Amino acid sequence: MVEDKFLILRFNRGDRRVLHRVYDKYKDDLVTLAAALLMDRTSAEDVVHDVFLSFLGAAGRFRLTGSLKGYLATCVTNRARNLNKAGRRRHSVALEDVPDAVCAEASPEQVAIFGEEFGRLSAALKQLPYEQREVLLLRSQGRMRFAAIAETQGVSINTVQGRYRYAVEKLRSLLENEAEE
Amino acid sequence: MKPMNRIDKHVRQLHLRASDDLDRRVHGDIDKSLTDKPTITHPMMRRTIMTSSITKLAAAAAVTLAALLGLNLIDHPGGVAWAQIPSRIEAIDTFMFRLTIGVRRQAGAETASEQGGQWTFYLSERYGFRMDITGGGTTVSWYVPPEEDTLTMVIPAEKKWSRTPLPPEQRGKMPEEYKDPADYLKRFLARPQKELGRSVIDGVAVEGIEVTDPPTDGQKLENAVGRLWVDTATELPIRIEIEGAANDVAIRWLMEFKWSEAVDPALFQPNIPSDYTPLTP
Repeated sequence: MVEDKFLILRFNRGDRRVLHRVYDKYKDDLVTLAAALLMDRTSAEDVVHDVFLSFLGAAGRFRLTGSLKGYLATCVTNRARNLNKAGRRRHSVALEDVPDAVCAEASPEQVAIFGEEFGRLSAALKQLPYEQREVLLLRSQGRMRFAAIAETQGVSINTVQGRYRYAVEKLRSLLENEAEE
Repeated sequence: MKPMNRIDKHVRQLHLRASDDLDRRVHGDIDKSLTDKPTITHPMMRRTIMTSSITKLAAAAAVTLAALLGLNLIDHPGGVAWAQIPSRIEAIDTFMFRLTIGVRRQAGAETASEQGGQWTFYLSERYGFRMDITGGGTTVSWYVPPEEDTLTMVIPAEKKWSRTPLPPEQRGKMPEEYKDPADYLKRFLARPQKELGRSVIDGVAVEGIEVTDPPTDGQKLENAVGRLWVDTATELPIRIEIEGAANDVAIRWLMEFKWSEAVDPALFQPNIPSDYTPLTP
């Protein structure tokens, strides 16, 4: 995007006012990504807020290159991943004891996040291993290349492509099974 | 449709709107950071343009063509009085130039896709400055009046606009800065060159030169050539073309110029219809 190049240029020169525009432009995409990763709207908005707070503090102190949306999606993903790990540590016993089948039905909370239409999808997404869900969302929602996702996750591109294939296959299976029932 | 594409499409349909509360928090923090540190750098638009790796070339070329051609760096036997071009351009207070960057990716031998962007600059001591940035199907227009006290941004596709103040210490410098003889064309003309003779561009008789490996600030091009064309009647620059390649991608820069009488003063006035909403709270 041409506009993004100028926003990055101004940001790199210390102009924090451009963050108003950056936020308005990408806020919905980032909240959607964070919510799909965390399955929690409040946490998702906190993550996006945190990303912009960090962005504010960094203006003029580092140079941003490449895709602005990709950069923001990566920031959101990293924070969501940390939050997810922290949450897993807190609730590890309870979550490990919950069988997948229990999660197949959309919980009221999941339905509430994305609406009735996408309740099934978000419930199915929740059943994916976190790394696979992350790859799928970065690829589909964040429109990121596999190579960029591999860099974000610190794994090989083959691993990322494998995670994507597994995620799609499992999601398809979950959604089709549910439709048959 | 393949399962992968179907799932991909399904996931892409997920959409949430950021809440009003989040809007308030983020915009509030941005505003607060601006208030807390009033000494933060607020680069002027002209500085942005002049230092942009992409537009520096165009901006510098626009203001230096005359001055540098006037140095008689090339011994041109044609009809153009190169030495007089600086004074001609300095007498002009309004001009436009448009930079178009075309990118052609070769996908095998069968298909090719093009992408790039276009920047149109209107510069006037009398009327101010305007820049239209076009790319990805969207145009964003930026305006700075002659007083240089505000920056107005308008996005017609989104019916949005914004206006922000510019710091007083940087006002009033635009004309001088734009006439500053940046070194771009000097470097351009210092390259190995050959005469192109006379030609016709859009019905205008022109005379040109071609240089090899022209300077392309911020973008490394292989096997690049640059061509400069000057109107033989007005003896003002008409066009600069640069062609080269980077990572097997063909890249073409096209800079087009219009001088004074061809630029409508109304272009410098932001057009903000009543149904447009402010970009920031």
